[in-house]
Amino acid sequence: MSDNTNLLPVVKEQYGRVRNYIDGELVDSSSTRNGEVINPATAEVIATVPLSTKAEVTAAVDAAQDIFPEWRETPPNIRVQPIYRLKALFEKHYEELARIVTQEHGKVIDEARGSVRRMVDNLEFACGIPSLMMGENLEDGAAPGIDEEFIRQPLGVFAAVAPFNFPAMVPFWFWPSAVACGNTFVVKPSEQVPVTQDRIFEIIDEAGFPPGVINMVHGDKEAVDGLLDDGRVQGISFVGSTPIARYIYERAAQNGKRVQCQGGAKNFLTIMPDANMGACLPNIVSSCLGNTGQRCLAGAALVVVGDDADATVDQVVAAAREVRVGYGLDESVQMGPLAAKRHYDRVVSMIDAGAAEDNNLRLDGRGIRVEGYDKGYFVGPTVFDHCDPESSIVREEIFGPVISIVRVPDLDAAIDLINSSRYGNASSIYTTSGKAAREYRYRVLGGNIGINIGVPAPMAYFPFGGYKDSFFGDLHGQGKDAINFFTDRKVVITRWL
Amino acid sequence: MTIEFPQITSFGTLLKFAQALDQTAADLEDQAAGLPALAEHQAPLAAMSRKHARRVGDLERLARERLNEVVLQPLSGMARGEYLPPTTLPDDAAGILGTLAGLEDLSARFYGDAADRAVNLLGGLDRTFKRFVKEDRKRAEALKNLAQ
Repeated sequence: MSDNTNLLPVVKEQYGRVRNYIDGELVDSSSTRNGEVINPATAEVIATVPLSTKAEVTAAVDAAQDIFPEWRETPPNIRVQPIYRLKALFEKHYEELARIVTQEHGKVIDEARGSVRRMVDNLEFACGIPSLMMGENLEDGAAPGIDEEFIRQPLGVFAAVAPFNFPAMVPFWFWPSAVACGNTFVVKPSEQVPVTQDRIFEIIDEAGFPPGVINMVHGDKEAVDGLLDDGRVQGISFVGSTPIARYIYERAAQNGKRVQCQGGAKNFLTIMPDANMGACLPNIVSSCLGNTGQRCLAGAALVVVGDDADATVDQVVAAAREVRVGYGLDESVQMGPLAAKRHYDRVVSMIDAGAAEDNNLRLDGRGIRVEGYDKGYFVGPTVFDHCDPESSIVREEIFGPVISIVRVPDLDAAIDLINSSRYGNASSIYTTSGKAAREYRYRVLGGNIGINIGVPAPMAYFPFGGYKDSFFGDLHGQGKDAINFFTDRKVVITRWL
Repeated sequence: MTIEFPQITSFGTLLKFAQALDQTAADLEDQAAGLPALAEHQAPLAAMSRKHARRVGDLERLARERLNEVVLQPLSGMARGEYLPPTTLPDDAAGILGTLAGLEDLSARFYGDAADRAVNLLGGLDRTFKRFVKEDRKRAEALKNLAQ
């Protein structure tokens, strides 16, 4: 028995230059433009990523388009067989994938494992496509002796543009359902965290999909524009910031595509005076600081209701102060670094701005030192109290471990504040009152509502909601919305003479 | 192979500590089952070892399947040092059986505390842990009876 430090070994120190996956082959990009992939805890370069050319995007779409007729004709129960195999392969490589996620993104290992689990959940959902994709019919539905039905049909090539905050999971909100429905697919991972997808596609290669059914192209705006402008791409799924979501939505829609774009968020957690703080406090802190605040469902602003809020605020500050910050591969650590230097600089500047706006900075995470990781992009838990509801740290998305506390007199004021936000991704209430919870669920303009849950993350079989500037489109990712997004409904009226 | 006991700060470390504890119990009971001094108790000791070894596998599966970010949160209040098991057995039969009974009691205490403290974190695993408490207590009692 050893008195270990809980530090897990990395899968590899260096991953080289990641590859594209086109027409069933892992291929080196011909691009002369490259980016660096950096471990945010150590600031060391662990890989390089090609910023692929438009021609490489076209090649991926070519492959997807060519195989589409054959794949579409493959019966649904056969189409899901490689997905079953892929699930088994991911279970085998579960821990390996989680460690790569932590290494290139920074999140703590439990969060990385949880994201890999969510990835697999979406494969499991897609395996139900033979039932989920069924149409409907009605005898004599059109007239006596004339039956009416609708059938679901795939459309062709779809694509997804993924964010940096969940390197493994997010593409799986989309492509398993799309492919199981009979479409073909191109994934464009975040160029900031491409290593996980590189390893994932090595594993996908073992699952036995026909070449071209699922493809991956690394890159930046040039690659994205290539997908947006290719007339053969039927639809685009995106997760990321609001400005980019809006750009993709508009450009893809102009080109006649289906689009679903999940944008930014500023999620409010409301704490009622009757909340069971003993049970809820860890959940509140975890919502705000989990994934170092880089989650589109993270709690960012606490709305503390009532005249006697001091004790509640003190508990939050004390709990945030106790969170252990460090390298995510150290299993004892509870919060990792921010994912990139650029993002670190932005979060620090927003804390600076919040302090300058005369909000009460109760806990300052700037300048935190993590022994052994001096170059890492660490910002400690930060708490502002008595925030001006109009201040930047309440209104703008920070995407970091910053909790902005606003005090309000009652639930109506809390809901008014929340609904005045430009965002509407998620919101949670902590209360023991069913009436207050019901009122909150009914009135708050948010796509995902938590009742005593700070991260209301929809499971694979539910749609991932989003209102206002947090979502552009109508059909959401996951669940039955995904089936509708990735199929068209064809109505057939039949009369036999 | 060295068995490592992490500090208990999260869902993952809690489950990893649990696996380490059960692996230790499996190893020691298997070792005891092979000792000439305990030949008359070989069958029950081997059966106890198998149960703990099986639990290690069950815990690995539970750690993967029950990990859910909706309830993921920091864990505090379970000090690693409070649950570290013995790693070697004494020489005499009575001492060995006493040590193993103590280990079962320790395991029951660990799972009981985990079920109580981590109820919000475990997403239903607390019921499983309470079953483990009953199983451990039953084995502790059986070992104490063997020693008499």
